[in-house]
Amino acid sequence: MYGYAGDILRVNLSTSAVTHEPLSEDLASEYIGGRGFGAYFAYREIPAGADPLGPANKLIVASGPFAGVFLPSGAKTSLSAKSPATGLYGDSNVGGHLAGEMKYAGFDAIIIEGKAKEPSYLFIEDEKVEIRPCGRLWGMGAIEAEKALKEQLGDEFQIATIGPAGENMVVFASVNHDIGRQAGRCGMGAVMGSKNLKAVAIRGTKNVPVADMDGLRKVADEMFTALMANPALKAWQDQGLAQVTTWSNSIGALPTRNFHQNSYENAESFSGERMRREIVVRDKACFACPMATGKFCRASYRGKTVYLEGPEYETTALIGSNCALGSIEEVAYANYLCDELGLDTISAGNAVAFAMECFEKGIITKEDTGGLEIRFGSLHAFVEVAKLIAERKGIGEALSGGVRAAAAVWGQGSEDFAIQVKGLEWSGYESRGAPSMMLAYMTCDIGAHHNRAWSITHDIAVGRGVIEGKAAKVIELQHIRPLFDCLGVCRLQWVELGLPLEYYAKLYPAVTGRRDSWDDLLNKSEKIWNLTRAFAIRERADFGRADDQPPRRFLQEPVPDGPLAGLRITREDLDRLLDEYYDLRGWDRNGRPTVETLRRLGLGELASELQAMGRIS
Amino acid sequence: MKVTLEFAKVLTVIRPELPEKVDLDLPEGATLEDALAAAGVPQGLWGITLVGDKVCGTGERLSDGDRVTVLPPVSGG
Repeated sequence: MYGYAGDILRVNLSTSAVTHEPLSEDLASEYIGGRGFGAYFAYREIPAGADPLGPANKLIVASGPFAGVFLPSGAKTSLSAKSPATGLYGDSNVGGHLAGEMKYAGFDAIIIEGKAKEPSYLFIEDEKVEIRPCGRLWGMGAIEAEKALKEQLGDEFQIATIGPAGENMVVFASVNHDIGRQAGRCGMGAVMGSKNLKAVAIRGTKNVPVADMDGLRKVADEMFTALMANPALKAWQDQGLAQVTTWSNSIGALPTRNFHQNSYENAESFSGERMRREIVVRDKACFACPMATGKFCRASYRGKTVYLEGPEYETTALIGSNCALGSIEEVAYANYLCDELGLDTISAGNAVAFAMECFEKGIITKEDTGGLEIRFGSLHAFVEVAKLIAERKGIGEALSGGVRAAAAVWGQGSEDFAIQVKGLEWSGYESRGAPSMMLAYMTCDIGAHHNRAWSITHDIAVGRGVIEGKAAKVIELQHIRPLFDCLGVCRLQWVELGLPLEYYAKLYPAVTGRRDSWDDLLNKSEKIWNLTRAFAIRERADFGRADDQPPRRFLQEPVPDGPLAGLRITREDLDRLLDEYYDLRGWDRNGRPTVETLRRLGLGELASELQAMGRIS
Repeated sequence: MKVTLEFAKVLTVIRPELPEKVDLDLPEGATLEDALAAAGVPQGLWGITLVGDKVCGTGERLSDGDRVTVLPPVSGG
């Protein structure tokens, strides 16, 4: 099959059974790859009601047809499972070099089931697949463990690891790869930890066949040429994603002091220029990427000097301004610590900021914190709380379940400023002044993440106060952006450098030999979107509109200062946004797809199942 | 002085009423921010700005004949 390795690897850690299953043409055609495969297997194989941290949950590691192939940035691997953060479908993706290596070993997806009897890692070298004990790695930092495995197996192995937070099943534990890149969101590291799986190491030496090599080379050459000629490329190579910080601050979107504010008086300290000048050591790129947005940096704290990849914008926003730290070097050190502990920097930044606000309001006291002063602006507090979270000790136990869970423990009104949707902490764009972006966060299938739809510029372009028409923009983006995760290719070249989508439409037949148009692929993306919604509806009888709500802070508190001072979103506007969104999607006003909608999308069997359960009509 | 602003295609998708290119006649000493305002680009819609092939902040003073490239803000992936 063109564009694919052709096999799915299934590993049961409980029984040590290793099996290969041929990838079917139907699955590849209908679900494309990556997140599409993850959603498909998650719905079919994870039983409703399964404990996300129990052996019945499955981790699906999958890439898509564009990964590992001669085209710009075919570097994306999706990790999917039932998320311990949300109890719903979750996925997170990572760049680097894992995706291609997995295909070169012969696999489009790896389904990991059960639980190993002892700490183990999965070794894959082409056909040779082994579950190996790795007691010596257990307890190591995520990057430390990756380096140890590289030393043992060789640099040519591509490795994904977890840190202590994953081992201890912190619900926002990340998966590390390529010395500092992460599949950060949704707690995929906790799922690995629950399975006693410290790492996956892959080496492959096979080819991936493509349908039309000449056609592929022609389109890919044009794409590379266009990228290299792009006037913004130099800025990207220079500053990476850190360049967005100053802009985000200027438009009132930069999370500050647990999203109380959306502009930060010290934001200039975090600018891309300052980062480049003060801490960047060298640039770093993923597979076949000319942008090289990764930045290897150096940071020192209390006499200890560390090296890390990052920080990029999200980390700077959630750890930097959201915890009110003082310099990019402080952010970088906190970033390094989270990477080694195996904590998602977005959720960790939220969790620590939430604890800081609780402390400053007296909701938690020194008695709870073991004498620690947890105040905004303190890197020391960040460091100590992050360690407690990873170890699940002291206040870290409550925070290890995420801010929603911590608010349920600490109460006293803290629920209002637990900044999350569906249990996943909010990423780097405060949206009281951006209704479409707010809707994007509310309706994102994995919780409050910006990756499915990023539409702040739409709010600015058509007017921040405008509601009408914004749901359509969010839906449009929710189909385009996740399609990249199915194809196994990075979307930065399109979304940031403006590489036309037409190139990707031309790549698809050249790689796969299929005749799908771009619109056909978008229809499949819509189908996958409805499949993950169906996962939630099957999971919980009461799942619906109430799960698509922002934290109360955004409704109750106007922005206190900065460029959007006085703004807040109203209940009326939120309801209008949601009604319009549900109507356009063919969902009822409780946010459930109708039987008719699911049938239209080719999900008739699933519609019948949910209808028989009384969940949809 | 004469200055030319070129808008990246992706920016014209976000705001269709922007042309791909606009020629401006600005007073001596005008800054890049003045040029963006004169072209009617709302604050927040531009990200990176270049004068020639050099990345510049919006406080940059322009000279006669400058070619400015305007790119949208980045989205953090």
